[in-house]
Amino acid sequence: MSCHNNKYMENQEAHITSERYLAHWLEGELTDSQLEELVSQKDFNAYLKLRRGIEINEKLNGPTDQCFEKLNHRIAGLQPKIRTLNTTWFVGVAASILTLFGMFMFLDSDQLVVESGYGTATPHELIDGSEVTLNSKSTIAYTPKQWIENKTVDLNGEAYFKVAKGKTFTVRTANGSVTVLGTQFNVKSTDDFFEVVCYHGKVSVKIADTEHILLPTQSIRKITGYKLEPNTFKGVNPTWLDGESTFKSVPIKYVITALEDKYDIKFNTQEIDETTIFSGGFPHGNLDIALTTVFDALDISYTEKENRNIKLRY
Amino acid sequence: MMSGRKQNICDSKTFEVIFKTYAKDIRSFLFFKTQDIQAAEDILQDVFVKLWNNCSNVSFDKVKSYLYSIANNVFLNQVKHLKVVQNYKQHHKKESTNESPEFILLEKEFLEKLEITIARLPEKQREVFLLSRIEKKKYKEIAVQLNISVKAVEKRMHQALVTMRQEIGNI
Repeated sequence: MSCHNNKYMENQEAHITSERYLAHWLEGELTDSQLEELVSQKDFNAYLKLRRGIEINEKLNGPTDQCFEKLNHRIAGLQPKIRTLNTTWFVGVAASILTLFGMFMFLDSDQLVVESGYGTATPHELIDGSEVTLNSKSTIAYTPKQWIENKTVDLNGEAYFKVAKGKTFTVRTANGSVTVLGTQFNVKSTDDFFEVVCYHGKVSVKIADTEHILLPTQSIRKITGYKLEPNTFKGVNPTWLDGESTFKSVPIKYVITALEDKYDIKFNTQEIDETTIFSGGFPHGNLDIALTTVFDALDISYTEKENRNIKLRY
Repeated sequence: MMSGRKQNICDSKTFEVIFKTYAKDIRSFLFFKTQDIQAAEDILQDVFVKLWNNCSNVSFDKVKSYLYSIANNVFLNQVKHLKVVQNYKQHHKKESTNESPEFILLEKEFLEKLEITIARLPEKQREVFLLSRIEKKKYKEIAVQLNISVKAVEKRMHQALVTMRQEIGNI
């Protein structure tokens, strides 16, 4: 017995019968440890739970007026959104129809620039008859007049190349270059992300000063800050050609960029860890489903803050 | 709904009606998940902010299931966050003090049984219990109101707790 308890008992014994201590305890006139001395351990636990139950029950039955008031404060500044994400996206598509077949630009040096907008894939035929398909927000540039001397295509973004028989050229990117040996391959090159996937034939990839030969079903990837990652895959085409972007263990950052390019939206990523690794894909043509499939998988929630600006958080 | 007219959630009156209709249930739903009334109320607000932001996309007929699934999502997202916080705390906590308040899990069934038990308390016990707990009156005030001694009030209150303890058993 604790001294406290002895004292309580001594002081109270004359006035209080043992049949009132629970009333005192509930009012806080008797401490938990004092009660513990008076009842069995089993009863003590049961009473603790009972007290919590009584308190919570009162709160759960209590009014929600205060909550509503706070809520009103919070939404006072917010205007209800009239447009849905879907319709917003539709506007995006309408806008990108302008650039659907690519924007052609001749710069001073007779350079041909093909630029794809937000949204779908953009096909283009190179001067030698090879086919290029640009994924969203990608650019290729080359000089048709000097093609014989300089068979080089500059790429920023992502493109799938289907090289005409017997033809050869080099795809140059900021991250490395790919030399074609008659083949089908996909190159993706953005700021710090570089990936080459070989579907058919053989390609030579040059990253820094090292050359890598890729055969069908082989790929190579270099992300700044990560090791060079050789990989293998299944499939005969890049999935994005069939209306789906897929990823294999990439930092979520690149998935987010791909979503932005595909749907013409912006993400606010301040509150999430962009290095989280993601595997999976998202469909083109339905933003709601795309968002759900990517972010629900990672337990990231998304809210549209303002027009086409989506805030991500845990 | 009875009227064939389409109710617009963006209308602030309709929004308020929805809040008043579902807030308590969702708060309870969230409490049983979080076991924390404050967290439940915070999430409740987040849920309704989301509804407000999405008011034009949610149809009035579907609002209930929308609210529950959003509540669940927000809860799950916070769980993830909490786990991170807890891990952090565990890694960084110093020698623990002896005051580790024992966590008491309150199940939905427990509270349901509790409510029934309160309703079925013998009249005299129930009266004192409700005056004390619901109307927040002191034992002295109750004694005056009922024209009995404070001792008698305390006795009834004590008995009420004993009865509840017996009724609810050891869940």
